[in-house]
Formats: sequence, C-alpha cells, structure tokens
Amino acid sequence: MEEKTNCTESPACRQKCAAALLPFLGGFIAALVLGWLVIPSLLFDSETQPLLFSHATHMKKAGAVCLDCHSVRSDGSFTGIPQNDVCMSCHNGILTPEPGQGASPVEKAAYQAEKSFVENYLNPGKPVPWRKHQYQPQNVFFSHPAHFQKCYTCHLTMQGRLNLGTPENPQKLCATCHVSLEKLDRDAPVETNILTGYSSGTLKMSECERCHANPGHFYADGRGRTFANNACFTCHK
Amino acid sequence: MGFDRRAFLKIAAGASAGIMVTPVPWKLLDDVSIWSQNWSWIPVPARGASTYAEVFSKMDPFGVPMKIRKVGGLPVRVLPLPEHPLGGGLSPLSIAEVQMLYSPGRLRRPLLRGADGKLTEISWPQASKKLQDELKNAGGKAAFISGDETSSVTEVLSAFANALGSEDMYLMPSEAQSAAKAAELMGIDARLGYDIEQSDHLLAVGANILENWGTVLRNRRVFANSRPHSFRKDGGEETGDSLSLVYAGPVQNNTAAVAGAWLPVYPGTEGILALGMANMLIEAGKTVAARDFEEFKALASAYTPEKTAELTGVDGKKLEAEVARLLTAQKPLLIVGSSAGGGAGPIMAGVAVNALLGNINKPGGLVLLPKAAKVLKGASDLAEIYRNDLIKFFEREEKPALLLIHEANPAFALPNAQACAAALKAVPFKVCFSTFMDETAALCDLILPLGMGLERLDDVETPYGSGKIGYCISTAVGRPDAGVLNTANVILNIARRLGKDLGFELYADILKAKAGLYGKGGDPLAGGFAVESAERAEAGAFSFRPEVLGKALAPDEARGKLRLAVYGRASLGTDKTGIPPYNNKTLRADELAGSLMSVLLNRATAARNNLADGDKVSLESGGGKIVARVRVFEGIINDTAGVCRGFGHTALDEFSRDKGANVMEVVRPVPEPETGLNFWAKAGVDIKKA
Repeated sequence: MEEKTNCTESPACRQKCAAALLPFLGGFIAALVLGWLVIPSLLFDSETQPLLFSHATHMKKAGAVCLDCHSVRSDGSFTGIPQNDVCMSCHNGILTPEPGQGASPVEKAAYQAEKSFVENYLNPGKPVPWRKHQYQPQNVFFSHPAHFQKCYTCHLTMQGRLNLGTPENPQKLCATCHVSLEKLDRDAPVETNILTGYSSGTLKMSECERCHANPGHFYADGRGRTFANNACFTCHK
Repeated sequence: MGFDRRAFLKIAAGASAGIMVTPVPWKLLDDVSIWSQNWSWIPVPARGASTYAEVFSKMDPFGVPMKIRKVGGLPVRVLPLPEHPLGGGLSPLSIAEVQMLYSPGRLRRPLLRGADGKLTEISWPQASKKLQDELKNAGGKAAFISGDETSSVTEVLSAFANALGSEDMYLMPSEAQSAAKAAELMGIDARLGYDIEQSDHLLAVGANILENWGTVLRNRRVFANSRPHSFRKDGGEETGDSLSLVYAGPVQNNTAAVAGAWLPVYPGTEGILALGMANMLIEAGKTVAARDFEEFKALASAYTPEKTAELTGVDGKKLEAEVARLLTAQKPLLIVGSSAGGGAGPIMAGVAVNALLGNINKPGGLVLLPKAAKVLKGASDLAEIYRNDLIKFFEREEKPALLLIHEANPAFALPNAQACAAALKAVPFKVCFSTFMDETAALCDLILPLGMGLERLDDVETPYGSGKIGYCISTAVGRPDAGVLNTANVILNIARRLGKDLGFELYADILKAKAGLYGKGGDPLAGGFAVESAERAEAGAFSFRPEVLGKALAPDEARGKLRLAVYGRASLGTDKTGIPPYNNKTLRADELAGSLMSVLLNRATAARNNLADGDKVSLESGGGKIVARVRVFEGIINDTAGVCRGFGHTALDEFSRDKGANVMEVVRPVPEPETGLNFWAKAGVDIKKA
C-alpha cells in the first residue's frame, strides 16, 4: 500500500494541486462575469425615447414641479405622462434660442429635440409615443392621490425625520418610488424584461413594503399594525 | 494538462458556484414566477390616453347620468356626473356597467329556435328577414312590449304597432303607469313630478326615494345637500337640515334608515294613510276649489285618525304629529308611491293631500310636467300606451300571433311570474331584443342581441319622479365589436320593407328631431346632450274623484295569513340585468345564505306563527310557493312578511342564477276597483315551516 505524503511538503505536488483547481476557478470567474455583466443585459430589451427630454431643464431652468405636468384628474386618477395639451401651456412655439456656432453639443441637441417636438408632434396634433418606465402591475391597485394625502398626513409635520417635500411640490415624495430625474439631461432608455414584459423600473413588492411594512410606521400597540395599512387587499386585486 | 472529463466537471462546478453569487438565478426565478402569471386569457386594460364621454345609464331606470372614462377607445371606468340636473353619485347598478359589458350572460349573436327546440346562431340579415316574415304574417295580430318607458324606441314600436293595425302595445307595469292613470282619472292632462329641491319637509309614503323610487341619484343629492352640517369640518356653526324627511312604509329600508322618522304602515295601506291625513287637513281648515271637494270631504271624513291608525297600523299620535308637521312646514310635499304594483288609488290620495297643502305647481310641491314630445306621427302618446294593462294581456285566452319584447323580462318580473311564463310560452312566435339571456329570452323563438346602454344610441326623457322636464341623448361609447344592433333601427328597416312609412329611416334622425323639439342647438349626437326645462302644465279641471278613490282604497279581506311586503335593493340590479357581479359582495349572510334567501318577520309575528330565527319556511299563495329562511328583524311591521325582490333568477349568469327565490311567484295581482289597472300591493301569503 502506497504511503501517504503531506502535499504541502512537495512543490511539485502543490503545483499539481493548483493546476487541478484552475478549471474550477476559471468556471467560477466566467460565471461571475456572465452573471454580473452579460446575462442581466440580455434579459432586457432597451428602447430610447422618441425625443430627447430633459427633466433637468424643465425643473431647474423652467422651475417646474412634478405636479405641473403629472397631475391628478378630477376623478382621482393620475395622468401619468402628459399629453400635448399640457406641453402647449408653455410650448406654443420653439422656446429654445437657435444655438450659435460655439454652442455645446448638449445645447444643439436640446434645440433639435424641441424643434422636432413642435414640428412633428405639437403642430400636427400627434401624440408623442413616449415609452413608459413604470407600468403598474395588473394584480394591484395604486392611487397616487391616496399616497399624497396619506403620506403627508404625518410627514409634513416630521420633516426632521423624513422630509418628503410638500403637497405643492412633492418631488421628494415622488422620488421615494420613482427615479429622481431632476439631474438627468437625457431620459434613460426604457428597459423591458423579455420574460415578464415589465420594465426594469417597475416597483417590486419589497419597494412597497419599505413603507407599508416599515417598523417605524407601526402603532405603539405591539400588534404589528402600521399606519400604512399592510393588509393584502390594500394593494392586491 | 489536457481537457478531460474531470476538467469539464471542475469548470461546471466552478461555474455553478460562481453563478450562485450573481443575481442571475434569483432574478430568473423571480421573472419566471411573474411570467407564469401572464396568461393570455387574463383581461388586461388597453394602454393609452384617457378620454371621457358623458352618457345616461340605460340599465338603471332611476335616472343615472354618468361619465365614462375610456382608454384606447374602450370604456374602463364609470364616474359620476354631479353637474348634470339628475346627477350626483352613482348607483350600484350603473357603477357596474363597464364590468357587465363582459358579462357571461351577454347575448352576442341572433339565436333562432329550431323545430327540435334548440337555439342556433344565425346572422343579423337572416334574423331580420325571419322577423320581417313573421311580422308580415302576423299583421295586426302582433303584440309589442317595451321595458323602457323613457326611450324613443317605445315610440317607434308604438308607431309600428299602429301601422300594422295592432292594438296590443304595452309597457311593463311601473310607477309611472300608476301615476299616469291617477292623473288621467283626476282630470290632469299632464305628468306628475315632485320638486323636492325646493321642499322643506318631505313625507314619503311607500316611496323608497333613496333606493328605488323616482330619480334616486337626484333624490340622494338633494337629501345630502340639505344637510350641510355634515360637511362642516371647519368648526363653523351648524345650519341644520333644510329638508326634513319622514318615511312611511312596511319595511325599514334605506330611506327609513336615514329619515328623521319612520312610520311603520301595513303594505297596501299607503293610500288609506294619505286619505286619513287628508281628513285631518280638512279638519284643520284646508280646502280646495274643486267641483267635487264636498264629496271628497265626505269620503275622507270616514277615515278618522282612529280608523286610519287601525287600518294602516300607524300609531295615532305619530299620525297627528306628522299632519301637524305638514301644516307647519313652509313647503311641505307628500310623495305616495311604491316600487311597482301600488295602483293608481294611493297616488290619487297623495295628489289630494298635496292639493290640500296648496303646493300644486308651487316651488317645493307637486308639479305638473308637460307630456313627452313625440316625433312619429303614427305613434300613440305614452298616456295612451299606459292604459293598456299588460297583466290583463297575459291573462287573455286569445294569444297574439307574434309577441315582440324590447328590453323587458315579463317572465320574471310580473306578478304570478310562472303563469306569465306559461302564457308567454303559448304565443306561437316570440321574439325579444335583449342584452342578456334572461328568463324571457330563454323562452323566445328568436332572440336578438341588444347593446347595453354604453353600446347604443338612445335617449332618456324625464324619468318618473323628476321635478323638471329633461331630455338626454346617450351615444355609444362601448365595444364596437359587440355584434349588437339597435331595436329601433331594425324595426324601422323592417317597416320600410313592409311598406309601412313611419316617417324616419334611422333612429338617429328621430333623436335629432326630438332634440330639436326640446330646443337646444348644436349636434345632439356629438355626446353629452342634456336639456332641462322648468316648464309646467296647467292643472286643468282638477277633481278629486271620490267615487273612484272610495272604491280603489276600500279595505278588503286578507289574502293570506300574513301581509306581504315586497321591497327592493338597488344592488340587486333590475329584472333585466340580474345581480351585477360586483354586487354579489354586498349580499350579507342574513340576506342570502347558500341558495336560501331570508324572509323578514318581526319577533311578535314570528312568535305568533311559531317560528324562530333561522327556520326554513315556505311562503305560499294561489298555487305559487317559494322557500326562504326566517330572519327576525324588528324593522318590519306586525303580521307582515318582508321579501326582497330580485333573487331567484333561473337564467342570466352565474352571479344571478340560483340565488334565493323569485317573490313574484307568490304575488297575485288583483284588479284595482274603478281604475282599470291590476295591482298587487295588498298581496298576502301563508307561511309554514318547510
């Protein structure tokens, strides 16, 4: 019977062992690269918006707030992406001055985008086929007005703990669920999951539970009830 | 080192370990779980911009204007239209209209019954030709029933019936029919309306005004607006109610529940209560300049407070208090009514009380509305059609050769429903225009799918109970692929082919002409057409007709062990629609447990009949029998069984079928003396353990 030797005592043996591990490490690293960098991008179809739209320009330069364009109808439903008539309240023509020779590429692109919007969509009365970042899943109810009202019931008076803005300018409340677009000069592409059909921006239930199941929202009665009702039927159809 | 099996396994092991520390397996697991729920048959609302259309509900007969939100051209939501003269909120039926577009009970294709008794689908041209041939053969022996008294389709059917030489044109029995007969008997050449907006004290006798009598949404809005303090959240001073409401009726229904007082009265004695009040008002010095006032006074004097209390079951002191309130109110108003079948006599007594209160054609009083405008020269007035009694028609031995039914369900809705169904079966050829496969459609030989209100062009002319003339046109906003046609257009087309000139070729032209009569410019078919007019008709040679009243309201012998109070609930839909799926959730276990519905008895009545809460009982009358479970409820008067109407459908869809029993099977109509109508408010039943 062959006598067992301690592998660490033999360089050749150590070399042999390391070589034996190489395929495992190769597979491991390849999987990491695929899993983190390649496969996630393959799961989504990416679409750019039909027009360059800058939230930063509208919010910083024009001083608009979210509710100026994304308002609540009289029936309580949310308008979502504004239609041309909303845009026309400001854009009765091309507002951006035509860029000169020394204009930056960003300025030129902004001018071209507005020109295209006015000439191709606004004047002919054609709606812009904007791609939506977030469609509400079919299995849930969601009311924007209810959240405006309910969240501000407490948060207006506790700004030190969590400032959600004001009902007149609810940008911080909006950014709790939506991507903060204030600083974006170009809207991000819309990514749609090829399996589910939902966009990458669609909220998961865990996002809802950040508030609905937040221990900070619990009543002090120790029964696990929250100010933001977390019963199934509150959201689910 | 070569790439051998061992190396491959090592790579695979490494990849497996590596992939587990990436988001991929967890993300895929999540995505697959969502993907597995994306079944093609799950209805998904269209995506797109919202548009709105203003329409008037044709399903809810109680006057419901509404706004429809559409996405991608399809209706997705029903919203209230508070700015409309009859608007307010929504009714439990109207709010379900979008959902019911997709009801499994909908009819989608014309169906023809073959010689083997089976229904087969046929095309619209085939159906139209078949109907034309049958109508041609039937000629003057064709009969017509309309279930929509506010629509011009009734006018088209009436003109066509007259052109064929048929005298059998009917409307389903309704409160409007009883009121028309009451007005006619009293010499009033107008329609009765109620100006509740300007009244300060309203006594509703039998009229469940907040649930299923008159223009319910408008009634509710007036009631809500009269209580401004209920909205005072700013700490301001309460202003008090500007309208006090008292309800008198056998069951503590939703109107009684919110009224300032509820006076329990025996079912069918509402007219006697009004006559007793008339006597007390005359005693208090009230008088009317009518030719037969003295005779009326003599008749009313027999209904002393004691006798009235004895006959109606109302407490004598409460009766005196209510009459005192009528006398002290600035603008008192009395509404006498029922959900249907109350007869003309009680309404006549109600008119008499209002005349004594001096409120006829006065603000806040009983108002006289001009008759409905008519554009088809060959059509009869609504008042003429109301004279034809549908119950008598079904009792007649000689059957018509053809019976055409538009949007009505007599096999379920008429009293003695089983006998009506049998009479219907005996008609050689029956054809119906119906939205749903209801009990009547199930008996017909030719069934023609009729669009729901959201899918058709139609109009609404002054629903009964309104205080003003109103005319609205509702345009189609629903599914263009529904496979339905408008009854009026089908009939106009057949009339033309049979050489009967009705004066119009298209229903749209009739509505345009009618809109012109109501005097409003613009395109009436563009959507949201609504006209309101405060025009009043003259009272004419008003008379009390005590010789009619005395006989119509005379107390008679009991028709069973218990009196029967049939009450309605708005959430149970109508006879034509059945229970909207949404509303199944509103049925409480004490109203319907399994397939057994409840019969209401108060504790004393239950004890007198040796019954207890939960007992299974049978209610029988004149050969009809239904089974129910006793619910002991103190909101019902003594010696009376309360049964909710709207249960017991045997057709329609799963949301309406096999739930409880149809109370109309034990309701027996009787001729109302002197008025020529059949009525069934005084029905009775025998009750025993089943």
